[in-house]
Amino acid sequence: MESVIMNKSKFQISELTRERIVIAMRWICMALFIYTAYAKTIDHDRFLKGLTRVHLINGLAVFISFVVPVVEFIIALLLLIPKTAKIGLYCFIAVMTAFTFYIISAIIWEKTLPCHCGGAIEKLSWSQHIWFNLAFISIAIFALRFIKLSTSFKNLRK
Amino acid sequence: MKNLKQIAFGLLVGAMAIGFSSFTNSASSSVNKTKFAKTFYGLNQAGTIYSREASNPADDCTPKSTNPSCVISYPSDQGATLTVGSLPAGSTSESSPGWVNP
Repeated sequence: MESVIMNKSKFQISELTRERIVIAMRWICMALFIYTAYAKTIDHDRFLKGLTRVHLINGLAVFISFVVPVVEFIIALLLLIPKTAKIGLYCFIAVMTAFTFYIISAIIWEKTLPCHCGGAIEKLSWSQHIWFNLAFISIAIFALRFIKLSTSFKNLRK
Repeated sequence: MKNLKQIAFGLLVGAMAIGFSSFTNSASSSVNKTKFAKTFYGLNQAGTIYSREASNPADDCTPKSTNPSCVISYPSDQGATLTVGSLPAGSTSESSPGWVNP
């Protein structure tokens, strides 16, 4: 006689709830990028001036000042469309990780630390900024994990 | 249909983010940060020579003011500070009426 032992986690959430959590996480990430990209676009001169003051990226300041808001808008669009949400989350994690590394390197090598991240985020201190970025990276990682879980459940049902 | 509904709500969230962004941005925009100069220079009647005023010459000294005696400085990181020494006495200015670019 064979018996099958199934390990069921005590903490279980329904498929619908999981899907809703993923949507909420996506929207949070999307809202952050739209918020900062819009602030950078509207006050572009200020953003560019801030970038020229950072010695690490001084030469590429003009290029970066245009690329960063455009990339943020594109990733926000990817996060908005359900079919491209997964790619959007990967891109979001990549860009946020790059920003975090930039902050860390600026803390190490720059004497003055101008932040032109846009909007209210500029008011954060640099350590708060790192924690803020890490929180958003972990939100995106959780969202990806939930997506993977729900796809594996769907495959099991088939 | 479900996807469309999701996109519509997503757009709503995006619109809210833009609204919030412009709200927080307006509070820290350069217009509101414009500082009044500590030293004021008034144009003469002909509009050619600037001379130093003893105190604030105009109560309506706002960024949109057309009063020729109203001089408003930009935030300090956008240019040199206007000082008495930087202006030779009796010099001709090329600035547009109502504004002196420091």
